[in-house]
Amino acid sequence: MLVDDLRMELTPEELSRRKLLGLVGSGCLAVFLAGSGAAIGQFMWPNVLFEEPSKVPLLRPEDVASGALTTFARHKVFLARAPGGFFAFTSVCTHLGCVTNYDQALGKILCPCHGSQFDLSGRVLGGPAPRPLPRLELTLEKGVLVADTRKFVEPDWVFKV
Amino acid sequence: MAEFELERGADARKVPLRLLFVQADERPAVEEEDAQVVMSFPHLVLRELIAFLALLLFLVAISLLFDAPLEELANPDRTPNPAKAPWYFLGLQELLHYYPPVVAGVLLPGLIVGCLMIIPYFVVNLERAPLWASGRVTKVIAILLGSVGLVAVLACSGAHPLWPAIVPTILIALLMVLPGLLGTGTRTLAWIGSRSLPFWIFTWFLAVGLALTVVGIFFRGPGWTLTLPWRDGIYY
Amino acid sequence: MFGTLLNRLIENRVFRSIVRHGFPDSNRNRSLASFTNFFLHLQPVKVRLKAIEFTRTFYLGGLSLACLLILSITGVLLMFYYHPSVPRAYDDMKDLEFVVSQGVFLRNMHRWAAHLMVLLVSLHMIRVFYAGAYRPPREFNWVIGVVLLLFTVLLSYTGYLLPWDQLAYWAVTVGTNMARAVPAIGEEMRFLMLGGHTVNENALIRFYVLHCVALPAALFLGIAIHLWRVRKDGGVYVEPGEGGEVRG
Repeated sequence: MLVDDLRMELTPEELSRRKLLGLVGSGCLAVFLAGSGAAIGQFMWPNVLFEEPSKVPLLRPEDVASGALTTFARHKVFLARAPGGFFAFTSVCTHLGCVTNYDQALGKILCPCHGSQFDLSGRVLGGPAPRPLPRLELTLEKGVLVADTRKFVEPDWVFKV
Repeated sequence: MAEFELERGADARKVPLRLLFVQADERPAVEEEDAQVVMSFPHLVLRELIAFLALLLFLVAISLLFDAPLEELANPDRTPNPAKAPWYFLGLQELLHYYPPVVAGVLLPGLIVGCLMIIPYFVVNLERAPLWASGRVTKVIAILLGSVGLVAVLACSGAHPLWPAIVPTILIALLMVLPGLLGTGTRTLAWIGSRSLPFWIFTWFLAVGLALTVVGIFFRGPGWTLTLPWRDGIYY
Repeated sequence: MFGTLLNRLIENRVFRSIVRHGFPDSNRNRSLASFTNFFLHLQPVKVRLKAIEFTRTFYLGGLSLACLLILSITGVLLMFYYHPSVPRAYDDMKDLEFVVSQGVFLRNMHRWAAHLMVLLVSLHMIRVFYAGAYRPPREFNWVIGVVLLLFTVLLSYTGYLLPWDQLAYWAVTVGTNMARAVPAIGEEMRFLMLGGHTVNENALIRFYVLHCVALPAALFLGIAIHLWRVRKDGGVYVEPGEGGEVRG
């Protein structure tokens, strides 16, 4: 025989008590689920990363060639001499993050993935790249030019020595 | 609604009283009672087994004949030229050549998946009425105007004219209006004429996807420049 | 002689406790074979003859499932030799090639079956669309099917990184940079996918776990629901107006 709870007679007090308990119960469940979700989310964000340091030493100022780019493949940085100073910019394409190559014969920077082209100061000459290759902040530490691959500066910024 | 007869009799074991109300959202299985059926075991099971074995045989043969590609160890400092995604993403990668990543990498794929998901909830998809059932002149004009507009958008919106989409668009628009212009005299024309609007939209989508993927797989080389597979080989 | 031996094997208490029906030589026993067997219970006892014609469905859905089974078996076997770390992952590929018996064959099989599965699932979707099989009451099953296609592509894509060769590395770099283009949350999304700022060992282990555990589990669950709904909606879709007779 079915015990039909739908036809059970309940007093108004019983009804309101059930409603309250139901509300409290589902509230607790919701808090628990939200907390678990947040905790799992936090878990997925590592607090310590074993990645390359963002500050990378490049060259002594007097060793930088003029009229051509110096490529630092390992750090994905191009270094160039400007009138009265130096500037460095990333070799990571602003389109989809491929590493661009400096073509000395053409005097251009070419991206192998989707055909973007840049001039020797990182400005876009053609292809799908939406922005020029961003310039990196340069500093002089112990007589060596050091670029910070996470600190971007204005596109006409030049480090004067 | 299926026709039915209400049978009555005194002996419930011989003449059961059938009270069946067939609702509007009836299951297809209810509809046909005269269809030929066979026992799943062995008829279906055997077919499945044969299909599975044929597939297995095919895969074994392919695996013995062709080795899966393996290049040198990953080198984060040197991007190979060209750097191609797996083949099923090359349509999207081809799009990336024309549109900025937000459009080609996020907006369009999201739109495609969204559209695919809501297909069964559109009235036009459920009716699937033949396109040329009525309104011939208006429809010819509408299709031509619509496709010209679409071609104009595809030609001007990207960094280059989007040829892998423009060509299929023109071809399909021509096929669509063919019965409208020539009538449905021959069998081929009649077949084309009896296709519905969702048929054409989906076919267009497939044709564009296929064209983009084929161009991406076979016709793109270093620097994503155009190459000819019979002259330069296939880059991957 | 053979017949009596077979009978001896089948007609005893132990075998009957495992397989609960007699030899499938009567329609009753055949029904019971479908009905009482765990692996066959997804199928109805009887099917319409025209629903199982090869040219109706080309068995595309079934063959996709077959690919998945082959992928699961070869995948589990490959896992015995695979370390998701840099550069060990790549070394393991070389080991499969040179020092593991049948290593190349299993890797080939896994790779080609994965490509074939993406193709078959796509073709299955196309076939279903042209048949109009997404119409009520099957609308939601179509949506599940689209999700299954996405899972299939994601599985293939996460697997693509695991050999840790140039092809894998740059395909994934380009792919994850697309995620970066999402407005506002793109950078965070990419960080979550990779577990870092670049494609490195963290990314490898994330893709590995997704590829070997999370996505297959989700895919199998999705397929179970997909097939269950196909069954509930009356099996393979047949146009309502189509006649009941089969030629031949």
